[in-house]
Amino acid sequence: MAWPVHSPRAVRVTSSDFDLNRVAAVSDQIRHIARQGFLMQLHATNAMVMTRSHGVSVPGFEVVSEQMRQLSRELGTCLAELRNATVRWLRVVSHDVASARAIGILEAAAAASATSERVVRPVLARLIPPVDVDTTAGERRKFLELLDEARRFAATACVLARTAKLEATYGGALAVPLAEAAASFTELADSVDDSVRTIARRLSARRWSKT
Amino acid sequence: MKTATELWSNGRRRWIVIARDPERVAHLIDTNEYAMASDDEIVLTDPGGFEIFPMVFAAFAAELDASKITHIFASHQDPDVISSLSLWLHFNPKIKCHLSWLWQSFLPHFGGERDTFQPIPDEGRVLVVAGTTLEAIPAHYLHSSGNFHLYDPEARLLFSGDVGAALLPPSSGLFVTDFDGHIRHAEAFHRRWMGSNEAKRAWCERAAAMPIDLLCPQHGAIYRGKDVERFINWFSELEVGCLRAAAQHHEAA
Repeated sequence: MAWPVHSPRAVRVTSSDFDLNRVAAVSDQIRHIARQGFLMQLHATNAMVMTRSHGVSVPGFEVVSEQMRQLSRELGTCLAELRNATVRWLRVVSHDVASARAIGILEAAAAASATSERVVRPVLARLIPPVDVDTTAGERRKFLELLDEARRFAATACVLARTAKLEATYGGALAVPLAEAAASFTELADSVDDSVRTIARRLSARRWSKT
Repeated sequence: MKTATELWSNGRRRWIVIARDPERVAHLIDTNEYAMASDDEIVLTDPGGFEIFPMVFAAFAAELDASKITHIFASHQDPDVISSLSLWLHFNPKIKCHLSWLWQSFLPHFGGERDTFQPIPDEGRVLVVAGTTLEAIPAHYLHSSGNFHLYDPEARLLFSGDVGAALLPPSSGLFVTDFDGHIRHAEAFHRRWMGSNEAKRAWCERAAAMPIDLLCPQHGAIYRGKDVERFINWFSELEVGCLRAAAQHHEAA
């Protein structure tokens, strides 16, 4: 008899949906958003320094830039929480993967003989969660709440970027560089929004929803 | 499938070995697992790797009750020795795992709780299990830097971990029957894996002074009777150690 030593089979862990690759992909997106958020803050600061160093008063643009900086900071806080949530989620997923492996190995042991079957079955019964129990539900809900918050930040950033574009037209001698700064805001805000949507898409790909 | 074979018994307790899986996948090194069992308690030595658990367990369960395993003795920290720990703990979460203090914070990576692990000091320790006394014999640097063998004075049986191990052809028997033919399969293993001539000499002196009827390695065949003495003599003459291996590598280059 050939032993299925490398095939953890008959895995009935409901949270196996949340595979490690998916968590890794989400982590990549979070890293990308953090980078864009940092650049957003940097560009907003640059724009403010530029107007002040030229002694030009563009109050509307300055307000928008300040808002953008504030938003980037808050986005950073949200991302830090998302990272923590990802680590907790990863811990649960890793545990599930290890459990699935153990279950696969124990099922192979149970299949070896009638004696083994009798001894191992009760252990398996304790290890295999009921089909309707999802051990990751709490972590998933928390993660999706944080993601909603990040989505709101991204949407606000898009609105602020459009406002910056309008305000740049009142920039006088600095109209062109401010328009370029506004274009950067737009690009970065769109990129953040896109990444947040990508995460949401990945999470909802298979049975992933907030409800 | 592996099979369980009785090595010794006094009517109250017995030693069995779980060995020789003809269907073993070739990329996993073959291992021997030993169990000392009384009616109430079982000590399992080097219970093996995660991947071979089904084969070990099936052979074990044919003879013994896994819920009675109270102690696991790990000669050292290698995955083929003890990575199945977490699976055995499913049958009795109170199992105590005895191993060198050196590895007590490393082994929990394979599973277990804080009180699972019973560190053995460098000088060794007596383990009282199932109403009998077993001795953890120091064998540091043979091959691991924190390494123990387990001796049963009544059975005159020494579980010797990697010392005495041989990488044998698949159809080999459980016991050494032709020492000269057998030892060829042990030579390269010992030259490379055993890290210190000094440690080897100390072990040989100690082993030569102990009454041993069965010398039971984790890989390969079991030495019994006169072959135990032959092995100790052979090992004491063998040049081992990392410097030797490095010098050979240098010459080859």
